[in-house]
Amino acid sequence: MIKKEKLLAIFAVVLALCYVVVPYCFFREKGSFLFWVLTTLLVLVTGTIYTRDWNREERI
Amino acid sequence: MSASILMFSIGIWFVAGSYISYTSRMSGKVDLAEYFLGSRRIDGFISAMTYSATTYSAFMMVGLVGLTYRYGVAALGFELMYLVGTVFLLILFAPRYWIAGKKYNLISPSELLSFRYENKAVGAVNTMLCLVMLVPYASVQLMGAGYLVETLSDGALSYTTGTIIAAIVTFVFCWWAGLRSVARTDALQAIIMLVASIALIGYLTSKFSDAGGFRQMLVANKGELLRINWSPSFFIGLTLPWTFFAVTNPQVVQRLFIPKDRSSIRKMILGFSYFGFVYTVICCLLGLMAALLIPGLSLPDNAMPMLLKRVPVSVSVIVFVSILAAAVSTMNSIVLTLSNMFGRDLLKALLPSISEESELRASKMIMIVIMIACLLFAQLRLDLIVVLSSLASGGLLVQLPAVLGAFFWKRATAKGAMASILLGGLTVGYMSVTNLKFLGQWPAVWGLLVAAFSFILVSLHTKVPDTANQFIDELKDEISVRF
Repeated sequence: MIKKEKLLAIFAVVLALCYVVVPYCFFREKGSFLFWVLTTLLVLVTGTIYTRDWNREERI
Repeated sequence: MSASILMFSIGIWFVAGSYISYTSRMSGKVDLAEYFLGSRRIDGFISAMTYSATTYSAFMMVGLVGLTYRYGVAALGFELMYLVGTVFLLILFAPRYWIAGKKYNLISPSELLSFRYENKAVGAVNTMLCLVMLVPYASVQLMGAGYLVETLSDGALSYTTGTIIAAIVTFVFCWWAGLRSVARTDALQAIIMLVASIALIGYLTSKFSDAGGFRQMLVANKGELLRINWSPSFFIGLTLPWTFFAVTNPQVVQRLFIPKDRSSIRKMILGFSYFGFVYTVICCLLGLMAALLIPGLSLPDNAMPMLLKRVPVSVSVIVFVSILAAAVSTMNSIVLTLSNMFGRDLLKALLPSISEESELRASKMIMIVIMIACLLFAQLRLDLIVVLSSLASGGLLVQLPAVLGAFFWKRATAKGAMASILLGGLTVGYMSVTNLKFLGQWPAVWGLLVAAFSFILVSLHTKVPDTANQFIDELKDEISVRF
């Protein structure tokens, strides 16, 4: 893995843990719907930003 | 809904899809890469739509709606967790599969494993696992279509008629031009799926607005559905296999070979991500709305068919077609990929001298055989939908160590890969069939643990392929330059 992939992988693991632990600990009664929706949106935005260079013309 | 309206709507969809499928043919000689990968020249939009339609089956509008109807928001967490996992995996793995496919002229997902581990037996074992797990899963798509047609026509059209219609449509939508037919009809079907779900939620939302608002009614009458009412082990057991779907299900893995350039890969990933987000949230909201409108159903999977009986025919018809489209778009991709894997990773491994033309011809014949097998399997009407789906997702998960090892662990060996796939697959199969949940954990969890341990242990005690370093380093170098 290259450096930015390693950072993304670490972010993914942390987020996956939060995805389960946070709702079960803090939002079990209410709020989990919003938590999951917002966290997923965060991931989509992260993906959009991470891949923005893939649109540029190739260097090789 | 009358049988004539159902048949008319199916007819329009079938004619439109058949036209697209037929006109997708390329002139001149068709080779394997053209038939199964569209010559790796598929643009970003079509790649995104075919990825979405392949991933999201009839489960979404029937199973997920039913799951949310029964359990509430936990079902949303489960499905969004899958989406999040897929987005991360696509960003990390799509460039690797795409580069490896182009660089080493790889066509099937199992072929990549054979190539990396320098042993065709790895691809053959992996292909057999996929056949065992995916043929029943594909049959479930036909079963869903059969039940839907029978229920919505109030028995005027039989279950068997529904399964035969779905099988014929599936076959026509993939036969003529292979991946090009599948990808372009998938694009049509993905659009139908999204439009139908938006139309239905729009109609129901307007009805709830007249009655005081959906959220208020939900809190007042079905507040328990806003609580997480799954145990953590249930949540993990259900979620774990689906989180890694993007690298363990061959029909979606093969789509990572098809984009024409980097920009198309990006469009595929992002297009799928946003499609999946909108579609998932809508399906879960529909489940919650169904719980308010038609409470007390003994079978949650009936929530969507019952809901469709309460909306205008114009809306229910398009939703009905969208569910069939979701089933067919998943099934034709599975059939196409399995037939390719059979030809490439089993037949070619047994008969290395076979020509490409013969291999393609054999693969197309196998496509017919798989279709018939699925149709016959569906006629058994086994009450095993949940077991089969669980078996498929858990069983395919056992490929994960071999896939990760192929890309990231230079010490990984062919024998380690085969041991993990075989032992992990047997573990999941045995636990699923006997409904065994050792220490309260699901078969997928134990299958993955067994696969991971056997992969590591056997790899550490067997010979590393000569070109392992080269494969991993070359991909890494290209990614650092191009991505």
